Amino acid sequence: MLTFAELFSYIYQYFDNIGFLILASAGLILIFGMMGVINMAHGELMMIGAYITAFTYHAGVPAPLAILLAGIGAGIFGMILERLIICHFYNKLLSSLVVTWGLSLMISQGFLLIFGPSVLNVPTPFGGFAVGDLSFGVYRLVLFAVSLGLVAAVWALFAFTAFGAHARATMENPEMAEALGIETRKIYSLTFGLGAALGGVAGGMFALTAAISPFFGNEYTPLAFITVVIGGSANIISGLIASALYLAGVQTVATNVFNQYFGYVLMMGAAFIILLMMPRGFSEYFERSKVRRLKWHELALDRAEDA
Amino acid sequence: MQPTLDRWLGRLNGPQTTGHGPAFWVASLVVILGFAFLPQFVSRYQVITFSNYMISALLALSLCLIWGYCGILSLGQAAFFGIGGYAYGIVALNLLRDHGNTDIAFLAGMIVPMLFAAVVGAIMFFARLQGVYVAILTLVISLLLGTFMRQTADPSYTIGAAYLGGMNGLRPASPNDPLLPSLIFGLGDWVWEFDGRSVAFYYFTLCVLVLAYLAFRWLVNSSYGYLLIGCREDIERTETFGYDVRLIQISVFCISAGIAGLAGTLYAAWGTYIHPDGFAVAPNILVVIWVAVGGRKDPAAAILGAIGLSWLSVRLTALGEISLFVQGAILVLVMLIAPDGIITTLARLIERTFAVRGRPIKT
Amino acid sequence: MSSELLYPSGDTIVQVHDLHKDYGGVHAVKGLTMSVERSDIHCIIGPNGAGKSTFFKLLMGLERPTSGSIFYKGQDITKQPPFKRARLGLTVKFQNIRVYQDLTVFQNLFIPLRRHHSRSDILGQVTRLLAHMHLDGTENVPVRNLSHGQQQWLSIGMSLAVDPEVLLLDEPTAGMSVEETAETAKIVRNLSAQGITVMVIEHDMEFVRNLNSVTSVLHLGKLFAQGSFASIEANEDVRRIYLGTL
Repeated sequence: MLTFAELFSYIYQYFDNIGFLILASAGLILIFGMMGVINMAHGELMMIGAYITAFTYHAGVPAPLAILLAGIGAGIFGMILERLIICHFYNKLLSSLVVTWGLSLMISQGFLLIFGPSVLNVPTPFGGFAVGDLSFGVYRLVLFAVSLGLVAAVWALFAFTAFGAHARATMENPEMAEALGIETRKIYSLTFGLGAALGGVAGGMFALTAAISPFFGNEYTPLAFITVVIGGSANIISGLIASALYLAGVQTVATNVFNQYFGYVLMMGAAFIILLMMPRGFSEYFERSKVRRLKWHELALDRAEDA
Repeated sequence: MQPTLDRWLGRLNGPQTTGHGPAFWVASLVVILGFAFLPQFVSRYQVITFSNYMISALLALSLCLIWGYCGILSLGQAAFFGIGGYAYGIVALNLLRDHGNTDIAFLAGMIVPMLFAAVVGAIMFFARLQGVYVAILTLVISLLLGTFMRQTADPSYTIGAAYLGGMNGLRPASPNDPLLPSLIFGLGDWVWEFDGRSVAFYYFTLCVLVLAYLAFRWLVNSSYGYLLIGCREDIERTETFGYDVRLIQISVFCISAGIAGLAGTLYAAWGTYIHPDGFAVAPNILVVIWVAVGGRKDPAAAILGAIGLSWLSVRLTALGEISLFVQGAILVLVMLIAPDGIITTLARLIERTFAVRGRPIKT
Repeated sequence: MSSELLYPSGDTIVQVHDLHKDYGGVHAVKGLTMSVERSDIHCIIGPNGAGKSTFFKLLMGLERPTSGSIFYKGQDITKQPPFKRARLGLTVKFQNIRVYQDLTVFQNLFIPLRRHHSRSDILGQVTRLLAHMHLDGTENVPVRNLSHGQQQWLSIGMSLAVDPEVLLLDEPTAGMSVEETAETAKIVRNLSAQGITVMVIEHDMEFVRNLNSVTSVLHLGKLFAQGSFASIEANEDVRRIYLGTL
């Protein structure tokens, strides 16, 4: 029979894993959905955020502000990358994968050259609490809350602001959006910047729990990828949430029944199964349930061709 | 003389590979001879290093086949390289004492990765996965294998006389067991040993590379090569002609895994070690850089890209740890300026400048 | 191989029953039931968005129907992948042409021809096909240098290269001049005379009138009317659906 402490432990782990996946993937799915770009340098954007957080924190800046600065710094860096390089690879999935992989190598090696291989640390705040005879960290719950908050903020941004409306229009039909006077170039830049900023914030948040090194990003990139790919690009918010809930669930169960390694292996297998059933990810499945009033000759009939 | 040569060369020439005239073949011969005479002019240490460059070139060929010719970006070629190396090592450690040679181990180094690719390929391609999904999946498989091999430090991870060794790599299970051997081929009473540090090994690897290159040209200029290109250009259209494209994809995946496994086998024999680090992100990304920078649609370009960048990487190390940074930068520049690869773009310029065209079609 | 004939007729070669295709909110094909006779030229017309191209994709197996069945020579092929259907004799020329843009004309034809011909025969076959399709002498031309109409013909030629029994042509005259359109009509009539069943989706009514064949009108994913072109042309309701008042 399960003790309450054990039950709480499972729930805690589940929330922790969900928060982890959402934070790691939010920026990536935004860029994937908007520009059809696979950004393999996402982990490095997170790493930049982690370094900014570490340096500013150790310079005396309070942690929340340090994380905010991380977001801003990564966001600006991301926008520069977009203007110089990424903009040439919209909707070219394989090419964008290769070029951003090159960028990721440059960024991580660059940081290695500048800052050396030594590991930085930022102490995890808020301490812990006990449930039964097990103890838990408070910060992980904060991380979970922040991840949900970020998703809600992005959703609100897209649902209620002018930028959001323009961005949604650009996502759905860039030519039409241009014709309506929307500056799609600016939308792409800002969206990439936002995605990078989300990565930076994620990096900052994770900096408080993990060791920071130039290879910080490698831990997160593959997982973020899998989450984004099975989330799908049709409806990024619902796709991301569904994907995180699903994968975190598999991971939590598998880690507890077997071990952490099997947690990853089974998560992969579970992701693969979803790809078999829903080749365009969870969000495509959600889109089907919505009735969309669009012209016949646009829409999914053609979109279904290009993946 | 000429018709026979033509007939032989005919099978190696075709629209899928650059270079087919006498100028090209003579130039290729010169390059090969150059490599053959190399040991006379450089130090033993450099010969050993060049052996490794050629092993890298072989690995690059494997990616060139599957990505350049069939359009499948496999980010896990280093995994097949590693599986090949480990398979060779495990079989060699177990059979060396009884057989006195590594014949079976050498074969295992190619066959085991092919079997693995058959299983993974069947799962992926029968599920009709394409593009990015295959790329991410192959990368993740490589990482998972790496993670698994890294945690095999416990002594129970022993297969016969081979101990997986975790982070330290493959090693003998007990002090009584032989060490990981270099290549030893035996046929009846004849034994040929190719120690990884020897010039003989260099020549062996050179022969393997040249043969692989010629076989590659033959394969991609054959009807099968046309089918690969059909799958690359428009896989749905190719299927509407009645081709089971899933089998085409699985087969090319297996062949390229075999080539990568051969490279891994040679590598394990060369250094007499094999190690889980080979499954990480860096080796996988290096193969992609070599092939993307050299030119993924031509085997000579891929080979030259691999050898060139490997050589450059060693030169750069003298200036500090900037090698990987520079290679990343080169990749980004090439993707922006010459996305078909430096060598392929140059070759096209040469062709255009000298107006080499108008050969009658050969079937 | 079970054989379920719904409308037993010795000459029916393609038959669909209550076919549905729902793209998640876009119900492209909504209960389509119709049959096609062997060796016929069968034209399919209808306003934009009627589900015509989707119908062809379903026939070829490039899309899975949400529900319904597809029969070919009496055999249920609903679950079969495209390459199996091709081997049974079905072939398609897509709306957006789909030839191998980066290859030459010869290379384009090599791939389908290789299915039924040995490598040494292919050159002869290519010459023959090119002559048939008004593309003589273009063997070494890179396909992207061909005109739109020539690419259409090449694509039809590629589909013919696998010796099909049923040819699905999706808008074969799109982008063609008047002369090219007339040539295409001749090609289609020739094919039918040789026993090949040709199903044609078209918007060019002159072309359809010229073919003077069985015509099916699709509207909102269903079969709206069927008959000779003359009867369809005279049908008031058909006129109205084109004008959008139905």
